[in-house]
Amino acid sequence: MSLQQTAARLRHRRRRPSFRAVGSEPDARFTFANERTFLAWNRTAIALIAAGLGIIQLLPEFALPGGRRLIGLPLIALGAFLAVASYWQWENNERALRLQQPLPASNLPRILAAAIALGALVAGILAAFPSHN
Amino acid sequence: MKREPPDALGMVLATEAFDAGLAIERTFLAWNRMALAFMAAGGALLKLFPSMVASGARHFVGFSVLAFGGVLLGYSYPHYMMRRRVLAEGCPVTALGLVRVVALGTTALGAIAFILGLLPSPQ
Repeated sequence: MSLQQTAARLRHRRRRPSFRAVGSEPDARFTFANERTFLAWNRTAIALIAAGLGIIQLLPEFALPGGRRLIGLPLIALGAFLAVASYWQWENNERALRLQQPLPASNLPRILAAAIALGALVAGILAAFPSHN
Repeated sequence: MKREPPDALGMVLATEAFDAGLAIERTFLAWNRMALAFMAAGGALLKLFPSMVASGARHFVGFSVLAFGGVLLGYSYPHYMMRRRVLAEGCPVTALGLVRVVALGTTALGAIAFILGLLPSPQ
């Protein structure tokens, strides 16, 4: 997506009415399911943040200086991003439910899977370096 | 805690009649797990990272996260009971405020953790 398209989408997002002002109240079970999904994403975010801090603070240093931060900081940043993105997703889902439209497709599972695979690859490479101690 | 009104049984049966999958109960449990995750994160900040920062700042951050989880845990049950009543009356159940508070809390925890991650770590 180009920068202009992203900017246009953000402007559109800001201009549209609050989700509570559109459509009609959905089946309560759908509201609950949407909420549980949001909470599950947030628990995942906290797990990523905790893993990142644990890697930086608890692991012995890798042979490559700064290796712990190289894995840990992106994990923490991903956790913070997921917290924000899961809120957007919750709101978009709530809006679609109220308008009885199909739920918007989510990129979050793909982003999470790709990030974990990349993290494992980097961690594997770092661990393969011979350590000094 | 105040005892339930005499028509409580009728209300419960009505709730179960149109929520046979117990979605409301599973949502209550999800809120509980969320609160426990915050409390565990707060405890970990307090206990696992003694060398991280000056103890004053560490205690402030750790206890704040722990207290946030504690308040969420304490609120989850009254909120569940309130929602059951609201559901039985057929009123809207969206918890916009709580969802926003949790999204903000997790984001803030991530920001704090990122700053802590930049500080010097043990050898």
